[in-house]
Amino acid sequence: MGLFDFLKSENCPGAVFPASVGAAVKGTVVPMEKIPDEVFSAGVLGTCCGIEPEDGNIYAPFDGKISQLADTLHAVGVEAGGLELLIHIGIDTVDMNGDGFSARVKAGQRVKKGDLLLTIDLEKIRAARHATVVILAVTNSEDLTGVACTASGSVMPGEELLSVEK
Amino acid sequence: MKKFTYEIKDQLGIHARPAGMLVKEAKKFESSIVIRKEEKESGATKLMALMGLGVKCGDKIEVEISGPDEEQAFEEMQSFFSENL
Repeated sequence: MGLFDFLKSENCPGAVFPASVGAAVKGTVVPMEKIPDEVFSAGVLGTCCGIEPEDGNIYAPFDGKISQLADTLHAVGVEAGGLELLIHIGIDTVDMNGDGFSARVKAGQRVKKGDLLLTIDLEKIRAARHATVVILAVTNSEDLTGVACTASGSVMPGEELLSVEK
Repeated sequence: MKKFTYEIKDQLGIHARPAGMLVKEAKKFESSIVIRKEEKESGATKLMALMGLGVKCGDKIEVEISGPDEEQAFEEMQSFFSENL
């Protein structure tokens, strides 16, 4: 027990199960098996669901904390006690080294559902010849009993994309 | 307990794809595997924490393995790193 333990618990709000992961961007749902990269479609990073984005605004999918933000800004982790989510922008975009990506949050920061996390330049991703699909992966799916994509067709930011049972 | 150090040669370091592969590899073993970069560490099966280490090309990491199948894990994790990272 440390003096600042109470801060830790405050920094990591718990998810209420069954939990709901909202769409992080406006666009069209891409089912997991249709994501053009095996690391996602085969579930290596956990159960996931994609959204082909219509714009470049990426929003928090639930209340939580930014657990990690890649230096290259193409991937951001959000957690809420017991629920770990990775939002990965595009495929192989790590090699863009952050060009076309800008962060509106920092690692460790608390966020509310709907807060703007990143803005991305979709044209730059296309120019780099990468797929633009935004993938939301529940990276600790194996610790949970049920993670399912519940949306199809068009989604607006915040509408339920995945449901999660503890 | 066995450990080895490895210098990352992959230009992009441990980002989502290699982190996912590393987790998959580490889960094959009963032994617990810890990846350490300077003062930070992560279990090799914890995807988000692994990515959070921010391991870049040229970084030296330490891999510590302890458990019943540590001999085999030691060999296979070394091959995994040299083949993938």
